[in-house]
Amino acid sequence: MNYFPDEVIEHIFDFIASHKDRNSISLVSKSWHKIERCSRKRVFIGNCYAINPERLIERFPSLRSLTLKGKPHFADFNLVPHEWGGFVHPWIVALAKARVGLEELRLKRMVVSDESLELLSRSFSSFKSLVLVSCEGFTTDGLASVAANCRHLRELDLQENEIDDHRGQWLNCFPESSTALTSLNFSCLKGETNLAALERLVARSPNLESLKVNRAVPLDALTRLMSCAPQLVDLGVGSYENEPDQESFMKLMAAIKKCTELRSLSGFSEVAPLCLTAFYPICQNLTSLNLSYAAEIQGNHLIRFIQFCKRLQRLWILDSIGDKGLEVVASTCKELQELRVFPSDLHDEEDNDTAVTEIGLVAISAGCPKLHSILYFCKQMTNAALITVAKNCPNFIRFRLCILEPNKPDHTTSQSLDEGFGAIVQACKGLRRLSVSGLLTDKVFLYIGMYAEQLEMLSIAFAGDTDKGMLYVLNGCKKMRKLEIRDSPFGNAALLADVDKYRTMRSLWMSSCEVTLGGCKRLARNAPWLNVEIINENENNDVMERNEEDEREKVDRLYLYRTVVGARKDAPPCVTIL
Amino acid sequence: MRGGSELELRKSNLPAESDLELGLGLSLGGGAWRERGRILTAKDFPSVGSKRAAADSSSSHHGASPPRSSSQVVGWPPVGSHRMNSLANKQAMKAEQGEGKEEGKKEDEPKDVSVKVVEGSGFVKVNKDGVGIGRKVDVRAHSSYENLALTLEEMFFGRTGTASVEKVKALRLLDGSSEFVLTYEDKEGDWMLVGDVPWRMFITSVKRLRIMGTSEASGLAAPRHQEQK
Repeated sequence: MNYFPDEVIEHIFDFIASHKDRNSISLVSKSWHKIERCSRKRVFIGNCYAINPERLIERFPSLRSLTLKGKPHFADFNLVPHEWGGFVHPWIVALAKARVGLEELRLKRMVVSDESLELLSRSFSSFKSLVLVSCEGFTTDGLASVAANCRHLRELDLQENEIDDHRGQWLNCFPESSTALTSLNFSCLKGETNLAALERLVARSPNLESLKVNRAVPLDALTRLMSCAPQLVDLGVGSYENEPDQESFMKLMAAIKKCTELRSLSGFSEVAPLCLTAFYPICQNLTSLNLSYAAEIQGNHLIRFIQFCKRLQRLWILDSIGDKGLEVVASTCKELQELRVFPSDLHDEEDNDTAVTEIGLVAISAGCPKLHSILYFCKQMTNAALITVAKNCPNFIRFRLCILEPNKPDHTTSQSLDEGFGAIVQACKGLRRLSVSGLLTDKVFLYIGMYAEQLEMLSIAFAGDTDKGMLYVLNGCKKMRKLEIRDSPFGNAALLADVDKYRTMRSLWMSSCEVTLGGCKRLARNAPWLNVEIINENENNDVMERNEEDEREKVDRLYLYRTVVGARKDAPPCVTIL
Repeated sequence: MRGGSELELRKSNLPAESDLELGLGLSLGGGAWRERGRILTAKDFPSVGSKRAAADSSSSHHGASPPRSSSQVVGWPPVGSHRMNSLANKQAMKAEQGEGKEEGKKEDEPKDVSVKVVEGSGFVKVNKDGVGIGRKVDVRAHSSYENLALTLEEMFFGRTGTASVEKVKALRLLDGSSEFVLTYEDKEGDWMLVGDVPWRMFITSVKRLRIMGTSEASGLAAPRHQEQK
């Protein structure tokens, strides 16, 4: 290969898209490193504090697409203070200053401000795609600047963000000349939508394939939207406040019938169940269905609909579908690859007979041979069921089981679920992500360390007995990248046993465990290439006398991650970096 | 626990058959740990770090988090906050419709009630006079004014220092007896004293909260509240 001119090598590299592969290529030789880095267009940064923007730009001058992740995963569950960090602004400032030809920015769990969005919109003339997932800190004013200034915008995808909706006219800000939109998702916006502006925008976007509206878009508006966008592939439906009258319903159905390319459906957050039936004409084409926000739709309506969705590959649903419903899914959806079943009743107010149990899970595993990813919330589980699931589905890549009540044992034998999860990790040799729950001892971690050779991400809550549990995992799982633990009795011995292990991992989260301040300090001393962050939100920092810090004091929340740029400067008072 | 033999197991990839004899025996660990079965009652799950609290009950160190006044353990179940807020909205709406069970079909519901779209997430900003950094609180995660006041007390006035929470303290912010009052900005932009309207109505109209000094608040007092003073 060294005898080829650089351009040829670069051309060959163009065919290699995966980040992992490109990272490997760059390690082969100095010349390959240089060719690779100069030609690299897409960069993924799993932890925005592992590197800084200046070094990124220096290494990859041809950067076009950047993906950044900020807060740790448990921030989704309010375990990380809002002001913790993950600010995108310095990145945008640096990219703008260096005149990087940025075309795509994808952010997850980052803090984005209107100022950042404004700067973004003015700095990159070829900017095409903005994807924000679980971000916060901005308002519809920021969206307005993006709409107004990004002349080549193709994709604006807002998923589950906290956006201050100023109920302004941001949709109006797309210039009349803007016709390039392929994807528009504003389902997480809470305020009213300028329907007329939306309709005009959709009408002049012939390439629009994905449209996800928010609650404020009523039925008749949806009908008009679909009528002028029959090419839609992915639709997120808003709200149907009342049951539609006959005429509106027929009009909607007629519009839907024309959408022969429609493959993916979501939304339905406040919907009269009958409205789902309007989609019967195209349901056999659907490959992806997300009804996990459709709390109004009862199980039987869901079941009747799903019976026709024979091509479904991805299904996100509420547990109101019940075991019976899952049995229908199992017998209908033979192409199913990913299933997520979310809890619908979080306050445990009712003894819900219709919620899902181990029966539904077993049925799915038996009926869906292509299933490789599952997220399953349920109230009870048994080892026998998990063992059966493991036998039926050895192809799991992601297995996330959440039994709602912490420490709940196998409800038929009252034993721990060690054996059940053990069977899963033993059978599923390709397992990359695992979340465990229920009553678990150190033994389950013994199994995980022994068998889960490909495991990259592990989530532990209310599990284990001693440090051994965590040690089994750290010693056994060679490919571990993200380990997150809460409310488990793991302490300093486990934390400090193998400091170099953290070089191979992206991050470790431990909250409400047994690690002490002293242990964390020792770790920080021995591993200067780690940022060891202690989060103590409930302290009034004036009250806590720093000179009286007790090293035996247990740390409430610990988050550590490898970094090449040392301690970050933007940490709030509640975060101490050791 | 079997101790040393288990450590050896891990080091080799192919442990001897006999070592793999793993029956379904439950290995019991720390006793107090196992007692925690309930998820959604504040009493059964006193705090996120309750195991520690049980172990160090005599010391009043600030390792354990304060008890949550809402009926949920912090961050459990692990459902994204966006989804939680959406569900909480719906449950608040259902409660408002006076529905006890989820049995009835929605078609039978009075249409004017189901039309009401609940806007906004449960999280509102809270600022206390004199404190630069504001906080956020999820009003929808609370069931009453008392609960909310309790959370705010813990947030802004530090811990009470006792393991159990006294009900009396919860009312300090609400009944005007302390030097602070709790006020809120409603959807119309008006600042009102917290406590005047029914709780359900409050959570749909509150935009943000402010803990202000009593002297400043006098201008806000609604006629009804002045009578109470």
